[in-house]
Amino acid sequence: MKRQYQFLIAISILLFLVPWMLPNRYLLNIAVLIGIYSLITIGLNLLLGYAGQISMGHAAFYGIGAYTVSILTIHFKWDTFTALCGSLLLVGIIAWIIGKPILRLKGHYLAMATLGFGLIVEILLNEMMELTGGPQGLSNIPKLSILGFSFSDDFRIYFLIWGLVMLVQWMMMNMMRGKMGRAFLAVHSNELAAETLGINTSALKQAAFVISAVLAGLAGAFYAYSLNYISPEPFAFNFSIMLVTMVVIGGMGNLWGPLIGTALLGIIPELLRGFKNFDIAFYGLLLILIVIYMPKGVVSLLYWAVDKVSKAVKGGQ
Amino acid sequence: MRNSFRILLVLGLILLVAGLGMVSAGNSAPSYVVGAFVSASGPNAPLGVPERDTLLMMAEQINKNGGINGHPLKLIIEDDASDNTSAVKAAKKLIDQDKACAIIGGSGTGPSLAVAPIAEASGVTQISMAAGIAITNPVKKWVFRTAPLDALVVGKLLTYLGANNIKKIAVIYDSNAFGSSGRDQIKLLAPKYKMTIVGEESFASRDTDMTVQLTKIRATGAQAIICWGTNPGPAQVAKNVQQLGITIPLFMGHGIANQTFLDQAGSAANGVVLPAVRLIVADQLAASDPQKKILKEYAAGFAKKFGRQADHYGGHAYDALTIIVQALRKVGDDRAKLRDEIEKTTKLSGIGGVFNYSPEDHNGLTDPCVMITVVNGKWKLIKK
Repeated sequence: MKRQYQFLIAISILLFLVPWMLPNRYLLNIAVLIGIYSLITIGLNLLLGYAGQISMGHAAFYGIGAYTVSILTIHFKWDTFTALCGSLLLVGIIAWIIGKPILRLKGHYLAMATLGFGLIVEILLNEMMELTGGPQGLSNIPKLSILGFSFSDDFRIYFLIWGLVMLVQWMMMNMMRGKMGRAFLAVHSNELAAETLGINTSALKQAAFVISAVLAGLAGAFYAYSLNYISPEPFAFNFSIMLVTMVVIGGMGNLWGPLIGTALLGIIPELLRGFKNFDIAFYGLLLILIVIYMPKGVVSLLYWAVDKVSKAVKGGQ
Repeated sequence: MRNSFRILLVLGLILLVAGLGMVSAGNSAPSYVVGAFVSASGPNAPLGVPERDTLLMMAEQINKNGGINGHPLKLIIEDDASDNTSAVKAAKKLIDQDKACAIIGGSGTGPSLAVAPIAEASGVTQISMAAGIAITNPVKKWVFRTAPLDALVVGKLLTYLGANNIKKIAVIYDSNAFGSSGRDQIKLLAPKYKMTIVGEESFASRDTDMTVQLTKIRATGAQAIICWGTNPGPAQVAKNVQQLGITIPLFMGHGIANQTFLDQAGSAANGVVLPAVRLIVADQLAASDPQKKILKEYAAGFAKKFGRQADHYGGHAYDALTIIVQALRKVGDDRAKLRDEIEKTTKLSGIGGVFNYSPEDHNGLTDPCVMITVVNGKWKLIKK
């Protein structure tokens, strides 16, 4: 476990240096987007990998977060930071309310219910024209500013978002070390057995659902503040699938898995741009190879490498 | 050990792919770099593909003819997959990494609006090919468009109706973005033409029967039915009108003006009247029409190169690149000078119509349409 914290510090230092290594805004923008998506996948991993509950509708919470800050700042002229807090509160309340009945479902039924929730939100975003602008979306969303400091460009947003990602990661690590973390693992491996041990499984699942939804809402708010324009498509069903793919490719139920998966799926399509129309085929091929040879996610490669190196070091001594 | 070999293999593949991706960047000649982001995949692919192909065809031609004042044109096209976030990434790549002097895009309203703040902040001209009114209203310093505004098309149709003494109209529209925007414009403009809307019905894009809506409309005493949508819905409306024996004349929006509509509606298409781009009736235009020559050239060139018919989406791309190239010829590739020159574009005859930009108007087109009808399954120009 101590090694995990050392790793976190090393990664943080590396991430702190990244903006100075990137030659242009295009690459910085990709780094920012990966950070935004990481906030969602870290939360989704808690739900998927630890609490063992699937969600095919997390893009909806991401969308509610984005639309709430946009509507509050544009239509109601709220201050950007207050709007951010309001949006997180709203997402939390919605997740808590729908989590109650939905989390009683299991397996395919839960997948269906969350999927349905995602679709309903998508339709509402398209149809509530007065508030959301319909398919044309909302433009001129202000930049986030906290106490007079404006996060006006990708450079500033980068530090804010990756700072938050590392903070959330640190909190997750602390949580997993404690009673709650072990309770999560128990629920994941056998819900019935966990209950007999006195773990309140439904409260635990509910907590994971609300936490992951709020993180998705937070990511949505940052998306709106950094792009300054939103329309319903980025929050549609496809993105929910993308999020689950990121977690699975990276490595479910591992603290570093979602970060690795998000980074990979964020970077690979950009590298494949050179292939013009064949990029989608290459992308698919890579995903297939990863799933076949690394079923526990790309994170297993990391462990394998660390293991090899430490063995080699010991052997050398 | 076998397992680790496999993992290495996968890693190697990833690195190889990464390396290849990098190689295709680089290269710096004194060429003029123009960027474009189109929706070549995803739901807007029917728009993005002809746009991409048109741009490729034009760049090839321009370079074959010695480039722009001796500078080769380096055209970089990115696919935004009909997705706003990808469009933003593509635009930032084109502006910051490829150093494009101007960018064309996007195909849809969403990507165009998502990129507009970046074009504004970076000081790079963006020419959109989408119809959404918010793109150029209010006017943004760096953002222009080549697609005609819905208001102009609706205005053309209502003028025609007014000339035929029609006062009471009924509207049936597709509930997608295209249809609902058309409905809004009709509602907005009807009073100006002293018309009243006596019936309003909608259908979903994939509906296969509109007899209920049409029966309701028949009872309203409307003198004309206006159907606004994109295929296949309007073809079904035409068929149902024929089946119900409704004799009220049927009018449509410009969204259906392609061969697909004629194929789907069959004999029910006959008699439908609509405002449409000049491209589909290019050879019927009067010889004096300033656009006739360029339209025929474009249509013939596109058909020869790609083996399919050119359409107005490709036309929007054609006009965008033509406007940029004309400005490049005059002032070179300085971003700010280029923008000022583009804003001065006047009387430029393109595929969509004649373009006149000004500091107050970044739409350019004022008369993008002609009225056409269908006779024996063929488009026919209605002469004034």
